Amino acid sequence: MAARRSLAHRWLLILPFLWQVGAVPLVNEVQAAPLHIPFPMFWQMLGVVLTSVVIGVVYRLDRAAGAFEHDDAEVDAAAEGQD
Amino acid sequence: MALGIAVAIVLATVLGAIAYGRRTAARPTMAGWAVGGRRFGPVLFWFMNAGEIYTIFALLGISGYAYALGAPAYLAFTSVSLSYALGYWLMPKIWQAGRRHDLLTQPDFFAARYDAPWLGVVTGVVGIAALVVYVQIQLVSLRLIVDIALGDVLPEWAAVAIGAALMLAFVMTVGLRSAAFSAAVKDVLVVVLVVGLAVTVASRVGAASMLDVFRLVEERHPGIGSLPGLQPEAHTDSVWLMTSALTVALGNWVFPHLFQMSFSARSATAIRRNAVWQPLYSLSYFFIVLLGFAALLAGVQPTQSNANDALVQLVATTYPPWAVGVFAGTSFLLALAPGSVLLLTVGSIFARNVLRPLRPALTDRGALQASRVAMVVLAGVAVWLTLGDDASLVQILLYAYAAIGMLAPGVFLAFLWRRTTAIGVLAGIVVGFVALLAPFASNLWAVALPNWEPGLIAMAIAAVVTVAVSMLTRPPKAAAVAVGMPTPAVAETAR
Repeated sequence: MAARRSLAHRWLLILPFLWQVGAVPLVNEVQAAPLHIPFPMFWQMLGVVLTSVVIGVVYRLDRAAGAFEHDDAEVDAAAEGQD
Repeated sequence: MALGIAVAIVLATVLGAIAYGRRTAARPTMAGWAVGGRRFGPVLFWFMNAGEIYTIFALLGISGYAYALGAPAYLAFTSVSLSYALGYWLMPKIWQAGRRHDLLTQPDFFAARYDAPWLGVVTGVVGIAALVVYVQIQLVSLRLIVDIALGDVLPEWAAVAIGAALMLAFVMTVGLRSAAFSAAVKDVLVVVLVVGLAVTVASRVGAASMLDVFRLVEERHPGIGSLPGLQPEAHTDSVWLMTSALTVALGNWVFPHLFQMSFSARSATAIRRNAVWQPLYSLSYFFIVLLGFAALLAGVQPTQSNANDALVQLVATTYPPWAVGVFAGTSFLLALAPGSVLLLTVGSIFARNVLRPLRPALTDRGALQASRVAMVVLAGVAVWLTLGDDASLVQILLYAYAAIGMLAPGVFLAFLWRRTTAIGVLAGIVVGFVALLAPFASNLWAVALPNWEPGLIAMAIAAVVTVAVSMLTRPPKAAAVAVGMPTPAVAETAR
């Protein structure tokens, strides 16, 4: 197996927690209502989109780092073990 | 007419699901029945995931909370995205352990990783208890739907029992594949239904447009759009939302049925790809919150103080019978498919992890039968718990997450810290439940950490105790540790 590159980019997965949990007290005070939607709700919906983007980015960086070849090796190993 | 349409939708889906399950699964084995033969490709796995997350709780629980409290319903927007941000890292690890060591259930994992069959029994019992609380959500909802479809003619116990009986009948037929099929059908139906209701509701409640509902509801009920919402005495402030969101995210994959869902995937890459897209589906909660606000504007009168039936009443009073029929049929599937997966999990854990260690001579066929008996008995327990319970669906959900949170330290540390021991995990579970359930503890949290979700406090205490006791006890064997934290050398040996 080739040496795997760093998976430090997976720490990006903390961003959704900072957005959707950490920022709650701050955004709760915002009075604006984009499209009439209360701002705290709008913020949480943006957080959902952000999460998909973040996970997508991590997925791509994982692929570039060769993490999936590792996964696929697992599949092969398991298949051999079962047959 | 409403009843006819509802029955037609449910029957067509159930028959389709049975046919699909029969066609694709030849022999009834425990593995085929419980984890779909570990062959779910991306499409089926996606629907399995979606089916698990978009339960009847989403439809009735969130709209009911939006109706009764307002902003606290935003908790829904955090649940799916945060679970998958965590799941992207966690689920492939669970999958890998299952694949390598032929694990079928979550207690299998505990027993193997901590080299302690008795821990499998303990965690099996805790998991079953948490799932039975979760099944209540489906039963409370089914009862409301039975009432709307039949016109409130049945006593409460009969409506709840009918719901439980149908769930059992459904799951007895073929197992996970059927559930995945009906999950797919109802996922499509529920999106059509929710969007359909959301775009037509404005004019029925006196708003100029869909978005105008938000303006109008804030005008008539100032403060509904931000925390703590309409009932400050409900303690649903920012701290409540933050701690509840973390409790749900950390507890989600610890639920036995969701933990085991990772086993049913074909590959770790399928799991990761799924995690990218799954959060976006939770944007549909926008429509459900909207419908809760619309119910408030319409001035509907829920029959219960918990407002679980706010949306049911809105549909029943402002829409034509055919729409009520579609709503009832879809809602029924929404409770039926996930509910049957919960029961399936309960049954397989009981037979495999509670009964088998006590009666090693049990055959595979015997185990299948024992699991079916267990499902009937535990569905009965869930019915009993449901009767007379007046909690809101969100509250029941948080109870279930608090209970399963006691297993969270054992799951996470299994992949993070070699030194974690079986005794440590047991001590964490015991002390955690005391911190969750003992009256003196509840009183303490209410004073020291007001508005915190008690489940998160108890989970943190369980984690600390698990670490402390683990340091004082002998670590498991290297081969057992490798179930959660494989080293390259061990991986080679496994090949």
